[in-house]
Amino acid sequence: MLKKRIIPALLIKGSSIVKSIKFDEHRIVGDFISTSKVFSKRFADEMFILDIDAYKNENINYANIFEISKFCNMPLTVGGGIKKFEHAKKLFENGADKVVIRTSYFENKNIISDIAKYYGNQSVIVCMDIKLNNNRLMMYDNNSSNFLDPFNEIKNIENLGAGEILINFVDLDGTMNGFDINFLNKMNDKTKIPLIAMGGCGSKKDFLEAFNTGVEAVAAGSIFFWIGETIISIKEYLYKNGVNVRLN
Amino acid sequence: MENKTIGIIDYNIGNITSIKNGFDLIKVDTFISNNPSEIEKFNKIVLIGVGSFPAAMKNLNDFGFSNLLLNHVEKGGFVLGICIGMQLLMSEGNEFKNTPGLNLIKGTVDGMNINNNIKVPHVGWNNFNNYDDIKIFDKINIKSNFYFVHSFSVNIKEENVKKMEFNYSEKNFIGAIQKKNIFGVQFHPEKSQEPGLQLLKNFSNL
Repeated sequence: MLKKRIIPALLIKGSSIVKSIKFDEHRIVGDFISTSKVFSKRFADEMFILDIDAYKNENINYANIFEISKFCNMPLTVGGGIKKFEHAKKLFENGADKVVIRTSYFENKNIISDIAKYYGNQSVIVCMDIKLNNNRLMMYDNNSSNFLDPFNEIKNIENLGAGEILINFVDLDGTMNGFDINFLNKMNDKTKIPLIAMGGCGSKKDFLEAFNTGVEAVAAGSIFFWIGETIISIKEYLYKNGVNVRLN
Repeated sequence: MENKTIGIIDYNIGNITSIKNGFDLIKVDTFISNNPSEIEKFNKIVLIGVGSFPAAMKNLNDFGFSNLLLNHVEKGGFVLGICIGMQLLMSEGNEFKNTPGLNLIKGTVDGMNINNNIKVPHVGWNNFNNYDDIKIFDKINIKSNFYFVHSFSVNIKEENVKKMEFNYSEKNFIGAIQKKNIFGVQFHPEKSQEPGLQLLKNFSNL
């Protein structure tokens, strides 16, 4: 039976890991290669490396990804700065297993179907930034600062050929206040492709509640850096509460 | 024939690095090449890739690896197909359009969601529920999980192929096969932590 996944998400800037609180006050938490080695040994089911400067600076650090992939004995998913098909291709050549598309969804939608056609649907994840606007959770277009209906967009993303969708609660990122469960439930009913929840995970219970909505994976950063929970302690808790996770 | 080093086929379809990293971790030498005449001297060849069936098969043909693989198997050399590499061993693929495969094993590659209302891709860690005596699974705990990521799976249409199955959404799919000297795994051993590395070790020790 397929196991639910726990994914440590490392936000990187140059060659350091930073952890954001609402994606702007960044705190440097350590060297990313040693951190990725540790997660690799602790039953992390996959690893996200999200470069928060690459899009703005038009500079993807391929050498970093190449170095991380040497020690990353689990799936490696990379995001940040992917504007063209060639960027994704070069990331795959440097050891990435999947790529995350966020801003390019608004600027160059075809990149998603191009990657899906060449590398298969499973190789491309689209990240939806979810933000509150007039008391409603909306998909935020960080390019034009517009708000879009997430329930329409999730169908578009699916039709473009994305293999998975990352639901990123921007307002909750780094706050460790838990996910919006009602929203996850609705989004999960709306799509056939696997969902990954990210942003705001602060306790074991937050993982449990997210998995109970039917999402396939939860990605988190703060909980591992600031709280002292380990992936194993969270998995043991989830297993006891009926979530099918990998413990061997 | 070179027996120790593993030949890895580079047919410009991505993610050759990961499999090299996997063999590096168990201290097995690899040689990556996009030139069939350089690969043919190895007794063990790995065919891996990230991609769609038509794109992968086209590249395999264009680089001249299809004939090399057929000859290699005929001469008794070992092949390990991983993910799309396992699918390419079949006679035909049905991703986007019907495409002839290597035809080393009679079988088709079909969408996992055809006639099943299930979420694809099948992505994540899964275990086998039907086992077979496949040599490269020696010393691996049968409860072990492996990392899968795919939307298509193989359906075998000939006898004498050993098969192992995993369960997904209450349906069984083939996740590992062996036909004499030909091996295939749908999951990624190089991404499957300890049990995956053991499988690579077993292949290198054949």
